[in-house]
Amino acid sequence: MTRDLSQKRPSGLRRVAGNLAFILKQSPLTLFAALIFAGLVFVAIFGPWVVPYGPLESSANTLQPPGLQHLFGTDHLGRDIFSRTLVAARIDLGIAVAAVAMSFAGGLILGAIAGYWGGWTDRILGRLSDTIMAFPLFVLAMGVVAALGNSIWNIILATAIINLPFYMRFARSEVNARLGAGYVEAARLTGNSRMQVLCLHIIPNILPPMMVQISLNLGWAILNAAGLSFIGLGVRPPTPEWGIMVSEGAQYIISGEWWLFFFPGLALVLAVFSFNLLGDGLRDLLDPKGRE
Amino acid sequence: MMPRAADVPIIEVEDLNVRFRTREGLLHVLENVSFSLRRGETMGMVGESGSGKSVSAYALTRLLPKTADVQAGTMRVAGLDYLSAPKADIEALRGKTISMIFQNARAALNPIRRIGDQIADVLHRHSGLTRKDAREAAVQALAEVKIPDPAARYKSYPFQLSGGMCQRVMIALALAARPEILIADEPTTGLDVTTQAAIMDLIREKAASERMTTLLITHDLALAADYCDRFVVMHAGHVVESGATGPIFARPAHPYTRRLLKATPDGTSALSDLEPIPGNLPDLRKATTLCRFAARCPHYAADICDVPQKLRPAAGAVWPAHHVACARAADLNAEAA
Amino acid sequence: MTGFILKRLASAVPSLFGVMVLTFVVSRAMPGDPAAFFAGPAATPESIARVRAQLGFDQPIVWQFLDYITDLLHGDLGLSFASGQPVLDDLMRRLPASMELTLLALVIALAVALPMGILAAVKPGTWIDHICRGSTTLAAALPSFFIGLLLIYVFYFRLGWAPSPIGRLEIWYSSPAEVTGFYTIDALLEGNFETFRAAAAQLVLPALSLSLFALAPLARMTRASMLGVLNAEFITTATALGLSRRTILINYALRNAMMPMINIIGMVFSFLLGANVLIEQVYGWPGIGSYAVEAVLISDYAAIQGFVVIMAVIYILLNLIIDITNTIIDPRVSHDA
Repeated sequence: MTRDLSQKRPSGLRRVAGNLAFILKQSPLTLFAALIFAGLVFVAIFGPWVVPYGPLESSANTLQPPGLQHLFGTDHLGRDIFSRTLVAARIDLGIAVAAVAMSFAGGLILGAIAGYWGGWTDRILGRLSDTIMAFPLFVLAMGVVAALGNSIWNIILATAIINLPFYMRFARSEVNARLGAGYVEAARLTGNSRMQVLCLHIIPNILPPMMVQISLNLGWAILNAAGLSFIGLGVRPPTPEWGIMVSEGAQYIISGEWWLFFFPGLALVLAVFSFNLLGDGLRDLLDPKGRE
Repeated sequence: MMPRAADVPIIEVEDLNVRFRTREGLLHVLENVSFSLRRGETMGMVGESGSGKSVSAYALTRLLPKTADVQAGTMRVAGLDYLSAPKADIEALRGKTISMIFQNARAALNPIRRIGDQIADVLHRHSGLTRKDAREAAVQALAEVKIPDPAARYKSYPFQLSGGMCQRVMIALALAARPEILIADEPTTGLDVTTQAAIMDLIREKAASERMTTLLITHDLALAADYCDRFVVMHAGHVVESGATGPIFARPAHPYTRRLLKATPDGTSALSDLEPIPGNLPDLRKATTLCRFAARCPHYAADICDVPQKLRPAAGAVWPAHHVACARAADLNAEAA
Repeated sequence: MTGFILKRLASAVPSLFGVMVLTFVVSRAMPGDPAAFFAGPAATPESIARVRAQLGFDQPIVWQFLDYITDLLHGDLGLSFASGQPVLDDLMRRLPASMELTLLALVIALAVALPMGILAAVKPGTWIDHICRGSTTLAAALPSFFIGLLLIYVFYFRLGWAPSPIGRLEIWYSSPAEVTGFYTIDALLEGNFETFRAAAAQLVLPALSLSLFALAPLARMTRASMLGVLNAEFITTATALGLSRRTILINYALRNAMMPMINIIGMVFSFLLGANVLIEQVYGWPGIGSYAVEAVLISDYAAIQGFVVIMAVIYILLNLIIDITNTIIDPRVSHDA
């Protein structure tokens, strides 16, 4: 005999597992994205060891169209585009992950402070993020790289800066929304300091929704970094990187050698596409009510 | 001899079953619900939140979401057989034949459209009036629900009106096309007591003058007693008791109805006399014809109660239409006497 | 209304000031010595020092900033190192090119995204919803520069349908007399259909590439806000009152969903102006985006500052337009303000 509905609810973990199964069944796209993502991570880690040619290894076979010997063809220096595209995964993903990690950490801390303490701190930090967002973000990133110098590290920093306000606002509103929650009140009343309440009770609760933001953001960060190297900032040739490879390949479009720009561009699309799909899937997982 | 029109029920529902498909499984929200309303009468539908009273009303207007699976033995409204009629015909009843007013009138009104225009929309749709005539008729409709200075109020937006005013607008909206049936879903919840009475009096007055059939959905037994000829008591998707207001109040037959009465302030009792009903609504994921009140019932007896429940004439009832779905109703009645 | 506008403008001042400070700091941190640049390749240390004094670069940094602000307030954005022209003139000459491209891209994106988002919201969970979701996710994953190149390859190199992807008009056309600065409109004003056709043909590919970038946020936001509104209580009311589906969707749902959508359209427009940078680079478009890229690559800081200030002003004006539009749509906004 059931007396109480709440007692019969599945536990948190089982509910998440149930939701996961539900989502994968509902949207095979998410499964597809997870597979691509796994492949990308594999390539990013093991790429240099599994590719058939060295990414910088040139040969006399220049501008070969895709074929059995060179799956994606060769470029103007006779380098194997398949190998270069695979090896580039590490640097592109690396930049994106590092940048997003930085803006996540920075945004979480600043946003949590603004949301929790309010008042002047909140107002100043709010103005700061308004100011950053008033810029055309890509141009701001360009400016930062140009000002600080043309290096991978500065690309990461620039990408982190332009993403910062989104995390800050997000963390701020999430913290703010939880201030009145019962468990926060309870934690405060049982004698926890403000810092303890924030770090032990509020932040752990806003991490799941922020994870969604992260996976959606990774794709954007990759696009940004690739865009910067496309216009000649940041990563420099001959380093294999998708943005540069597209940019180098662009010159050969009007002579019909499409494979130079196409394959690295396609890799970029696949990577961003899978991140975005995963982000959507993750959101459905954490917030079953988000989609009707 | 033909039965008189007044004797033919205008709403006839038998064995209505509604199930919702959710991520947590199938919820059996209504099980074998039966009720009927005669033309011109006012019937109450009473129960806690979650008892399925609003779902019953929404089923009558086909307003349930797509995740709802609706089955019924009989379902007939104003002569239209819901089981065989095309969807479009049922939807054509909305507003014109069967209309609704909702709990939170402010949220139920379009926030960015002038209230008069919203009424004019309904009039234009159902009364075949031109836009211009509909506007004039809307001012008249506002006057009829006793909104002061209706011509000026026509131009107001919902956020500029009080809750009581919004509810008056809602009533004007629902009655604009002179429907035969009005479903009032918790029409006074959230209003203060004097406004409550004014709104209910307005509904009663309108119902009487238009000879309108009214289904009043409320958790407030006292309200139902004041305004309804009859009512049905619902608990967890089952009808547990139905009958005329007087007999039910005088001699409630179902333990749940008794608890509800004890939880209802009647103006003479002190707050401490009110008894809350213990326990929550039961798990709706299990389909059952057994008593769903059993887990909360002080009179539960395993050997007697665990049998399929059906509405039966209440023992010792003077009024033959007094029905109850409780296996122990007879012996409890004897105990009480 | 004037008071409202002034209030909104005043609230933008701190942001604008912040932008100026940030630009100033970033541009001063850039490598390269502008004084050495202006003094020319044959300059001696003395002549460089003289130029530096002329430019005010020997002053303390705070004075330089005050000078910069003073000049800015007089509409003086300084001289570009690259062109030797006043930055403001350069930008004003190039702004219409960017605006024409961005507006067309926005119009294309809206023409696709609005119906798609609305349909997806009206029929959530159906194939049209899945198509909407899949295609917008894909569009959001497409790097604009890559799509730009792909379109050039297919439509210019392979099919030969598009003109050569360089600039706003092929070289044998002369540009129309400037009225709006938009070549297509100016050509039409002149009655020169040949030039109109040529200018439009140049616009199509870059505008398409750029519109893909805007598609995802617009379609998703449309879907989300429509879905939110369609689940609102007042839509249930309108349905229960039997208003036609058309009236409900357009007069009730869409108008209410407009407000968040207007905000997003504004945001997307300013994003597009930024994303322009890469597309203008790919198509040799003489807009402010390609101007900014060149300025950044050679540390032309007056030009960078000028670009950023113009963008910030556009951003602020855009927000003002959004606010005013919202006031017109939603009576509650002006009431609160």
